[in-house]
Order: sequence, then C-alpha cells, then structure tokens
Amino acid sequence: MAKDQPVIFLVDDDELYLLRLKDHLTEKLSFNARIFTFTSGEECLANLELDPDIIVLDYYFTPNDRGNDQKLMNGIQLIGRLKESAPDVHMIMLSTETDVEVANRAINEGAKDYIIKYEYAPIQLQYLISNIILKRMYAPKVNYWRWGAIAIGVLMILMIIYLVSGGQK
Amino acid sequence: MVNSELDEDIVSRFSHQQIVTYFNLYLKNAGIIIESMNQDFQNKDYESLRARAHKLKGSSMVVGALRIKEMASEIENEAKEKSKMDEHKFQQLKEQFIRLSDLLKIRYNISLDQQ
Repeated sequence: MAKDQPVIFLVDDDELYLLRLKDHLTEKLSFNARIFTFTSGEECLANLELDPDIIVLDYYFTPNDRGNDQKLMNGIQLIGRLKESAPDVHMIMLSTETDVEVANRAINEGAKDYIIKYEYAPIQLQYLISNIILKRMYAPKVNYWRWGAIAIGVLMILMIIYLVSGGQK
Repeated sequence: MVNSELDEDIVSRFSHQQIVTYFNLYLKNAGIIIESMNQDFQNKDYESLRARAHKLKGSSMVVGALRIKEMASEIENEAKEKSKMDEHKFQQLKEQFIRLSDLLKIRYNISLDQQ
C-alpha cells in the first residue's frame, strides 16, 4: 500500500447509521484509517480520487426527506459502476435486506462480502476490515520472503553443482 | 437489559456525547420519516412507504429503539406485500415515538424542541 493510511468509504442513505459506524470504526480499529462517509452511490463515485481501499455500501438508497425526490442508484448498480472505475477496491455490502437473492446478486456483481445489518454489525465489520487491511499490508512482505527463499534455494543448488563438479576435477 | 422502549445494552455502549448526538439526529429524522410514511399510506404509494419504513428500521436499530424498529419492520413487510394495512398502525407508531421522546427528555434532557 503506497498510502500511509488505508482509506475506507462508508456509503449509506442513513446519516445516523453512517455516524455510528464511523465513530465505532474510528474508536475500535487498531490502526489509523481515513474514513469518509457518503449518503448516495452518486456521491461515492464522485469521490473516487480519494483512492479507497474498502467501500462499505448499503443496498437501498432513498432520497432524504427534505424535499429531495431525485431517484438514486441502488447498491447493486453502484457495485457495477465501481467494478469498472475502481476494480481493486474491496467492496462489502452492509444491508438489512435478508433476501438471499440480493446477497447473491451483490456477490455475483463484485462484492467480496455481504453483512446483514443488525445491532452488532459494526463489530463484525470492524473485524472484517482489520483482516482485509492486515492482509493487504502484509501481502507484499510475504512475497519478499517467498522470493528470498526461492533465491536461496537456487543458490544452494548452484553451489552443490559447483562443488560436485569441482570434486570431479 | 431490555425494556420495551430502549435496548439498554446498545445505549450503554455510547458515550454521553454520542447519546446526545445520536438521539438528537434520530428524533429529528424519525419524526420527519413517520409523517412522510403516513402521507405515503394516504397516497397508496407502497414503494415509498416500504423504503421509508426500511430507513426507520435501520435508524431505530442504531439507537436501540426496539418497539419502533419492530413496528417499522412490520410496516415494511406489509408494504412489500401491498397487503391490507391498518391506519391504526401509524397512530400506534406515532404514539410510540412520543413515548420514546418523553423518555429521552426525562433521562437525557434531549427533546424535539431543541431541534
């Protein structure tokens, strides 16, 4: 990860849920993260230059009740758009929708995880995000070790060949 | 510990500042949503009613407003099925909201008038 802190987007039409989720993650994550909240998929897409690592998104998006009747895209449509414009982002759908069809469609469209919104979902999300970020942080280091081990193995084989052929002279 | 209005286990996880912020926002938004749900019902706009009930269910879950969450969930399901809905249910929802508002005023001195 080139950035000094992971970037997390939370996308939900419920301001209160966003606030609670942001507070919970800010308090409980064991690392610092830049957390941004958006109340629609459109707003999320307009801010992709912030380079998110993880996007947590809801399924239903209803306009707010302050005279805004604009029709908003739903979570599945948002995943479809994100797949094109931000293919490396880990997408997690977080919704109260318990219909398995919706979960299947979200996963088929490109979401990596589906969490049902319930009282303790913020805790579940906190652990999931921690795992994703730790894997992303350590994946390059694991690769260095793997290549290092292969290089040492090749050197040892060459040394054995050299010694064996030297011994024959 | 759970009473009929509030899930105390959920609320006990909030700091005092969070209680004030969350419940202020909840009272403001839920009040508007409940009014709009009534309008949707009168206009027979079941899709809008379902969406608003769904939103109210989510917000109520965050603050542990148990009864309102259950009632919103029932209305959401009935609106989804477009099944015969009882107007009385909206009255009960309003009354429940008022009960919760009163409880919040007594306990935390949070009230709708502050909005």
